[in-house]
Amino acid sequence: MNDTFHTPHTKTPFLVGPLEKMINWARKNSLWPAQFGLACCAIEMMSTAASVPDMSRFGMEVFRASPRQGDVLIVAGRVSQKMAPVLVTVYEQMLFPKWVVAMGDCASCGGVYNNYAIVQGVDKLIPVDIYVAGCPPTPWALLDGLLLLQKKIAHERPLEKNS
Amino acid sequence: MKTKAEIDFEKEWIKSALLEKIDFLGETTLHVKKEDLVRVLTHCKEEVEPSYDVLMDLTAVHYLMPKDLITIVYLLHNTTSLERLRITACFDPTEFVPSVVDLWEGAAWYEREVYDFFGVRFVNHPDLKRILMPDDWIGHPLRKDYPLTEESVEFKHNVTPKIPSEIIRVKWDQKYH
Amino acid sequence: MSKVSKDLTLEKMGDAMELNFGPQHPSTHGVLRICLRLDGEIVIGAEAVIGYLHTGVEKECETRTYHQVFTLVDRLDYLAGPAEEHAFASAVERLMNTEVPRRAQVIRIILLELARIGSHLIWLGTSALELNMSSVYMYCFAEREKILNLFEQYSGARMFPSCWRIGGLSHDLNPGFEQNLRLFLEGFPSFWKDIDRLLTDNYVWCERLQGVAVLTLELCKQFMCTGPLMRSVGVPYDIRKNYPYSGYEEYQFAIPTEKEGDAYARYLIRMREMKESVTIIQQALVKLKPGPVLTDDRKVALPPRRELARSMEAVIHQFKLISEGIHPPKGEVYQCVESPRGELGMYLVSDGSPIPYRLRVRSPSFSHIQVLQKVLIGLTVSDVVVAIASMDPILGDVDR
Repeated sequence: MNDTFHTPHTKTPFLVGPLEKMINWARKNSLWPAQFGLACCAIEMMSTAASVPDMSRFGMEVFRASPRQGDVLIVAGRVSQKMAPVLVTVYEQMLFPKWVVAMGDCASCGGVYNNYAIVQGVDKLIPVDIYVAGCPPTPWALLDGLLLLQKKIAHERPLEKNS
Repeated sequence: MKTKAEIDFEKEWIKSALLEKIDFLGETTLHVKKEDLVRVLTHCKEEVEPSYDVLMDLTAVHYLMPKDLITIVYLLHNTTSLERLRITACFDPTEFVPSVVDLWEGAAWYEREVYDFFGVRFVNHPDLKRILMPDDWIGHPLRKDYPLTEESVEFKHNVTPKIPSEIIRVKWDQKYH
Repeated sequence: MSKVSKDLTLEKMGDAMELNFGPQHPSTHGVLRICLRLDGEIVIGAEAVIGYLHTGVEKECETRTYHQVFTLVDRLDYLAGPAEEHAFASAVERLMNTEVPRRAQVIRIILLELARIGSHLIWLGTSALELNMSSVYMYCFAEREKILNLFEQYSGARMFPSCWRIGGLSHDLNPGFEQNLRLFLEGFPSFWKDIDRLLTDNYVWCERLQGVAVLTLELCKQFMCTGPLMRSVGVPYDIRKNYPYSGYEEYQFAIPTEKEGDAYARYLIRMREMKESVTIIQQALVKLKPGPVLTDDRKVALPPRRELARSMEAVIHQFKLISEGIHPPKGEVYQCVESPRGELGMYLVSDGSPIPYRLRVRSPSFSHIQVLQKVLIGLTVSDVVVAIASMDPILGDVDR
C-alpha cells in the first residue's frame, strides 16, 4: 500500500476538448439503427449485423424495434405506395437527432422498378443523409456507407441554432 | 398405379358448355361458357373420380382486341392422380362473376386480387375489397388500358428526359398489334 | 388450449382489444400486418393485411422483352432468387421447345439446391432470433456466408446470380468453384449436427413449437397449401418428384414428411430438407461432365463472342436477339418449381410477340398467409410469432 494517497483531486486525468466534438464523438460511435427492413436489402442488412461483417464493432448492432429508441433509419428495400405513409409516420416518431440511410437502389432512386407501385426514391418522402448503391449492396458496402455517415456526423455543429 | 381422372366429354350438358378444348405442351385447357362455369367446376370437384380437389391458382387475363374481355383462369389440381386442368371463361369487364368461395375457401384472396387488379366483381364473396393496392386507389392496374406510369429518367448535359420503356426496347407496337 | 370458444364471432366480442402486428415489426418476416383481436392474451380474430411491398412486377413484365424479365422476377422471392429465375426460364423453354444442355441442367440443380439450403438457414436463424436464441442466428448467417461466397464466385452477385438464360446458363463454372463447393459440403454436416443438438431436443424450443399452428389435411386442401406445410400433414407432395424438371428424375433423395402438422413438424422437415439438398448436390457433382452450357439454337440464345468475328449469320442473330428478342409461339404455359416455400408457378401467356402478354406468378406464400388467419385463432400473442415463423412467408412473393 502506498503512503501517499491519491485522491480524485490530485491524479484524475482530464479530457479537454471542444464540446461539439465530444457530442459528435458520442453520437457517432453509438448509432442505434431503427429497424426498417422491407425487402431483399433487409437480408443484406441482417447479414451486416451477423458475425462475418459484424456491425457491432462500430457500435451499431443494437437494432431497436421501436423508432422512438433509434437514431438511424436504414430504409432497406423498395417503398411501395401503401408503405409510404407508414415510413413517414415512423420517421416522425423518431427523436432528434436522427439520420436516414437509403440502402440500395430501390430506396435511393426506385431501382429496377419504375412503375405505378414504387416510390421513386425515398428522398421524395423524408430527408436522406447517405445513399448506398447496390442491388442489394454487399454488407461491406453498407458498412462503408455507415462509416461515411459517422464522418458526416463528426463534422456537424450540434450547438448551433437551427442546425 | 394412379387412376386417371376421366371427364366424360360425351355428356350433353358438358358438350354444350364446352366452347373449346386445347391440348398444348401436355396441358389441357377447357374454355367454357360463362353461364356453365360454376357447374363445370363443381362437377370437377365433386363428381369426377378421383376429384380435382385443390384449386391451385385463380387469375385473369385482360384482352382488348378483338373485344374488351377479361378471361378468368382456374387451375385445378388432382391430388390422387396428379393431373392438372385449366378452365377458362370470358366475361365482360362490367359483369358480375360467380364466386367459388363455397367450393374452395382459399379462393377468397385470389378473387380479391382479381377484383383489385382487373375490376371484376364477384357475387357472394364474403369480403370483396382491395388487397394489394391502397384502399383508396382509383383504377385497376393490370388492365391493358392502365398506363405503367413510369417516371422519366433525367440525364446530364441537357439530354432530354426519357421514360425507360423508350430507352430499353424497340417500339414493336405497330408491328404486332 | 384456448379458453375462448371458437364459435364466437368478432361482432359478439364487444370489448376485445385490437392490436396491430406490423407492418413495421421485428418479427413479421417482412412487411406483413396482422390485425389481431385479443381477449387478454388469447387471439380471437386475425386479419392479415398485405400489399405493403407491392411492386407491380406483373405489369412491368408486360413491357420488357423475355430476357429483360429475369432481373425483375428474381427479386420477388428474395431468399431463393434462383428458383424464380428457373421457373420463368423453364416456362419459356417449354414454350419455345428448346433443349437445355445436360451440363446446364446439372449446374442449375446445384445452384437451386444451394439456394434452398441458404433459404432454410435464414429461416432458422430468424425464427430462433425471434425466440431470443440469437447465437443460432449468428451460426446460421455465418454458414450462409459460405454459400453466398460460392454464388459470388460463380456470377459476381451474392444474392441474385441472374445467370439463367433461355436455353441454359450465361457462363460455365469458374475453375476452383467445384473445389470450394466440396469444401463447403464437407463442413456442412458437422454444422448441421451442432444445430440439431442445440435445438431439436431443447426444452424451450420444443415447448414453444410443439402444438402451435396445427394444420389439417382438409385445411391444406381448401387453402391450396404446398411445400413444407403440406408435407407436415403427411402428404409427400414435392414437385421435384411429382412433376420433375431439369433432370430431377435421375437423382435419389427422400421427401421428409411428418404427421402432426404443427410448427415443430415443419422445423423437422426443413432441417431434413437441408440434409437432402446436400445429398442432391453431391450426386450432381458426380454427374457434372464437360460440355456446353447454352443451347446452340441461335433464335433463342446469343452466339458466343468468338463466333462474331467469323460468321455473318452470328452477327445478324445477335442483332435480332438484342434489338427484338425471341419469338415464342402463341399459347399459354404453366411451369411450377419447388421453391423452399412450396409450389412456385409461372403462368405465361404469349401472343407471338417478343414481349410476354401476361406473366402471372403463383406464389406459395400468398395462400400460406391466408391459412395463417385461420390457424392463429386460439393462440396466445407469443405463439403468433412462432406461427408466422413456421409458415415461412416471403412478402416479396406475396405482394409481387
